[in-house]
Amino acid sequence: MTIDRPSASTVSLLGVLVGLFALPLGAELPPITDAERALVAVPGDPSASAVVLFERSSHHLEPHGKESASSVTIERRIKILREEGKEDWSEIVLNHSDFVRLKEVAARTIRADGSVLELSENDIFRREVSAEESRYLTTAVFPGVEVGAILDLQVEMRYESILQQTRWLFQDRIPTLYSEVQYTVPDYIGFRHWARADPERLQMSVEQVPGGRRLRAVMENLPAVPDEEMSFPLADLASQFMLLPTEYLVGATPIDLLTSWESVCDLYDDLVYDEFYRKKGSSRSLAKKITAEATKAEERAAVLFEWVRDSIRRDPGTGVSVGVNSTAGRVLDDRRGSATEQALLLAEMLDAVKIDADIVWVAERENGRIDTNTPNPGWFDRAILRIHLGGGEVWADPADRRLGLGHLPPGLEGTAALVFHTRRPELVDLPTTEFTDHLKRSRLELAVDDEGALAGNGVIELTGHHAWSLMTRSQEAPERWQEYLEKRLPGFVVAAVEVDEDPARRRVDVRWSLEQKDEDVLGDEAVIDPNRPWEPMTQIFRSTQRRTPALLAYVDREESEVVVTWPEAWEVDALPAAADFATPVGAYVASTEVDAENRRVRRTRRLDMVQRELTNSAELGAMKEMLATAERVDAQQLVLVRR
Amino acid sequence: MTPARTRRRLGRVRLLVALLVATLGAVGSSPAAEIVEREIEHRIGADGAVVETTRMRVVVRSPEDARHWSTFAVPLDENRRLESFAAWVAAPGKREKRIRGRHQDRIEVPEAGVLHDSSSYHYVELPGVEVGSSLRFDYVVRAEPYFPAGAVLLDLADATTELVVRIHGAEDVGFSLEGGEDAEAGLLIEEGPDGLVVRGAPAAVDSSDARVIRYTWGANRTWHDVGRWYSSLLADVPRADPSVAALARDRVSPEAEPRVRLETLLELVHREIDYVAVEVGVGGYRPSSPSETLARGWGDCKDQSLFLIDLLDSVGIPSYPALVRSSLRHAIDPSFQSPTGFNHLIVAVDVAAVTADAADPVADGLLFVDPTQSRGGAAWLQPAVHGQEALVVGRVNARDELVRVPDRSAVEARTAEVRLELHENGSARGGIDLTLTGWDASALIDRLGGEDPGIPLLEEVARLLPGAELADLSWGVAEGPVPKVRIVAAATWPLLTQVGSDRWSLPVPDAPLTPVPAADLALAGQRTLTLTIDPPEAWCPDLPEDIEEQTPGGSLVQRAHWDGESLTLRRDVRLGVDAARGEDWRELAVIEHRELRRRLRFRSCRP
Repeated sequence: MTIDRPSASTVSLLGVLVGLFALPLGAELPPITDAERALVAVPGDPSASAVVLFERSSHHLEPHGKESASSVTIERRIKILREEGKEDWSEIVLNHSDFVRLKEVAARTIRADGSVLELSENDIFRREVSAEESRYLTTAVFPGVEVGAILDLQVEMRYESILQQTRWLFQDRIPTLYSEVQYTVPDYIGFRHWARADPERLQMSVEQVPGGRRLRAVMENLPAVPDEEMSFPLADLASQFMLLPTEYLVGATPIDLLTSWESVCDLYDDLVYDEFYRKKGSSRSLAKKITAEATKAEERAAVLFEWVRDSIRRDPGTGVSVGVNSTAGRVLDDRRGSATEQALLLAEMLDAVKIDADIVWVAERENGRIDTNTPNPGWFDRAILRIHLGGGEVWADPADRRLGLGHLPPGLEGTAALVFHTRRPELVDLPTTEFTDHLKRSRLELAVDDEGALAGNGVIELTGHHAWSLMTRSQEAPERWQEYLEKRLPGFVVAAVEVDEDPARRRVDVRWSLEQKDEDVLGDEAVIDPNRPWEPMTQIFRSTQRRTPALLAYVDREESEVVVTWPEAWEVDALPAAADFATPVGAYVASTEVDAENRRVRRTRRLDMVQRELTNSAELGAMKEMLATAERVDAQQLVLVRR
Repeated sequence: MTPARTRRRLGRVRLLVALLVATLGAVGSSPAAEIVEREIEHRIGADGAVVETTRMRVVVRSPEDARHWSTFAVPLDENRRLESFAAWVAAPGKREKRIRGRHQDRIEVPEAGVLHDSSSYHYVELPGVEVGSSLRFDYVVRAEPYFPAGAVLLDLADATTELVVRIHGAEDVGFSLEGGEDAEAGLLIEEGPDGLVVRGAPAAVDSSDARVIRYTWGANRTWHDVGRWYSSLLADVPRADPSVAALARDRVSPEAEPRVRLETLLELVHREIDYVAVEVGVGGYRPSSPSETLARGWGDCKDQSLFLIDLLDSVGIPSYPALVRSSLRHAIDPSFQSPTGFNHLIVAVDVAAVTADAADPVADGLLFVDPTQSRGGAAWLQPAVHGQEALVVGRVNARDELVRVPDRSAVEARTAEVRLELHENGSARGGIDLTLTGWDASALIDRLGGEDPGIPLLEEVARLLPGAELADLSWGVAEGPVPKVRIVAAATWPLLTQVGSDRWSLPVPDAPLTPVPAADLALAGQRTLTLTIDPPEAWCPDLPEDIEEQTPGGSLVQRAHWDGESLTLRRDVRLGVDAARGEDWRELAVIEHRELRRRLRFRSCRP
């Protein structure tokens, strides 16, 4: 490798490598071919609303200060094939900042008759999303878009960091005829590539260019990634590619970049986290003060976790880096910080009271599966902590107010994570939970009176992710639950609502009384939807041509029970059917017991979703059949009539 | 089609100007804290500017309050400048601390559905807010309104112990209180020669229900004045561009009937001018020039309307801009002459120049058309403008006065024909023929653009027939004058009929027109169900009662007939636009939902 290094010191050189990652601009788009002009539908996908004719992302890695910063240019040519394509593809929306700087936007529409409409400067709008944080939003609309129009776009952006690389997706929700990513890398930066694509179809080349090398990767004639209900994330399904800078030569001395997880952790420790902890403010003394009355380590950890979770407002920043000039002291003073900054502050406060905690880099499942065999901090969305307590380990995610100590949100369950350590970084899979940990259970006790009116009381018990998703953390919880219940128990007045929320146990309990509204009393019959307050199940997988695997938000158990009693002059008119349907992916069980002597009926129903990912037709078919059964049975009512 | 796209289409109906929101006051952000004092003064200057001073004190009662009140935002715009801002936080038992500049920011966030506008917020972080904290705000905004009018939001998400609003400095201050029939409840309003004072102690209210006091000033306010003001804005817009006229003449045959010309040019705008909202300063009211709109191929409601007006003018059809409030829930106050209640611009076509029939949305010699609609012809108006008062601007030989846009909710319809054959084992087999027209049809057509159009159609049918297995789906879309979708499917219910020893019981396969009574919003229209059931031989129905329920603004009529072999049940539900926009729909909703729970029964009638 040739050496063409700058003269600054190693540390200051590396300083410009770490920061935020940017986006796109570049060369001329190729001429439009006759075939592209004539194209009215994509072979094999006649319903496609638009097609990517050409797309190229050109990165120039140049880690030498602002004026000669790295750049990325994105060139894209899309043809609109149907009306729906106009709405989906005619707007341009670009987020940028002082760190990821938008240099140029150019766009034009080539109409079906061949006329060309250039995007004028007056039609490019720039907003200051935050003056303090120097964040901007630039928007524009392609002029004169119509079916048959070709939309050309070129965007160039500049950025400082080369470390947080993100993947280039060759595919989108519409077909792609040609997609290319290229990286021009100076000689003093070593690199390797990473790909998740069919090697038979991925064309790759490396060529020498003045001062460095250029890596190109191309894929052609790719189908649209199907947009189906509960589908896997796009980043799981699309062909993709990425370059990773591995080495930086200073003289003859190579400095490891994204070579190993050790080198990644070293870089972040030196350049990011050490800086963050340079000013700790009163974090340590405050930690001691607010844990003064806690005698055990577990109690101190819980107090500090809850303090950071509830007192530090979460800013939108993402990634495992921290804001420019951000320090623990400043986060504490401002009472605000990104999720990673919250975790780092909590680690410092725990350290102050002699509790060890590891920083853990995590990636949300919805952003696509990551590949930890390839060291890259850009995989990760934020940091959480693994706290060492009483010989065990406890997970702590202080960025989510609905989580207790030891709990993870559903989006992190089972995902790959990195325990940050400069000498012994550790790759782990975050724990998963059982479907029985996530319970949604209701019980209604109702009595029909002589006038035919129903009245009684209800109880809801939520645990795990269900408690997490419906937890309000508000004094207004009873009012919110009353509204929730009245919408799901139509015809009833809901009153005396009591709510207990316990984030530490991830549990919500709700109790209420209910009484049928006078105007809803039929008098001679009483009709009860036995699954209420839960909605009757409806089929989620209606498509007969499902092409992608399904991903549930989380596994769970939903139970309902209703007990109804009636006066002597009444009798049962109709009972909902029984069901007992079990598959490897879930179960649906419903039964009814009638106690005629005591004029009492009890209906129970349970729906278990035990498998989060449905990856083959057998699993998808089993789930579909179970939901069809549930839909049929849930539609049935429990009916009592006057004799 | 994704839900996001549907939301965007719905979003377009309410975009005349962000100013409407920006003038209301700071964005209070929390439930359940106590606003101990809130004092607002709007001083109207001789130059027409308004100096808005707000002083407010808040006590934080819960951790939730603390979180919500840790930020505060003052809405601003190109014509609303922040003159001064100060805020203080006092932790319990401690001295007040003034919020420093580094906790203050200016942010620009476009309104939902708007690509770009000039609204911004002075955004403040309030560090150290905790339970028991006391917050104090004191800030001044200088507004230079485009029209002599302003507004103050009276209700916030937190209860206010003492609210005082003073609006003064000009003669003839008129006001309108927006917020339903009981809007004045709990308020003391004193009108004087120099303005008005409002006092009260408003309870915590959701933002959608919050009361707003709108005011205006100056002598001789009439709708004509408002119309003249709008005409003066339009006078600055370059018109009569040859390229626009040439386009109109190119698309319309000289021999074409006037109505055909109108329909052709309306469709041209629907198809070729995309709806995109950009609102900067007075651009929230003033349209772009039609030549600009033509060149770029997109525009907002004002741009699309003015473009259509010039196209029509080029082919000899006079038409006028009509300011309206586009809302399923709210209407303007006709007695309060100000443009601030309007949020949409449509087109009023002179009926003398085109043919119109009784079903068309015609009032006062004007046919109302909305160029922002993505489908339908001149016969169909989207329901959010049904029954709204429109200010028709610049009409020849007429004063600019309000005209009520006609209620054409009768075309907002769902008609279902369901036929069932019951079997001895409790199963049923049959079919459905469902037709949607109007807004629901348009929204469904939007969703058909996805990969599998069968899915939204099946979902639509499944709403009516829960528990049914559907097959043999076919459908047709008619994008004629009124959007229309027809869906036909076969249905099988393994478990429809619940069989007892001597009788069968089954629910009526139906879905309501009205939402549950606890819901927020209803849509005017009608639905009709015709259900025919053939039971096995020797089974007879308990014939359902005929029903005829009339409520203010709505009705439910049911008729049942047994001919010895088939039971036919016909149910008609209608809801008028005024009832849907007010609260009267709830009475119909109660009746409808009660009747939906009644079941059909068959008994053995073997001799």
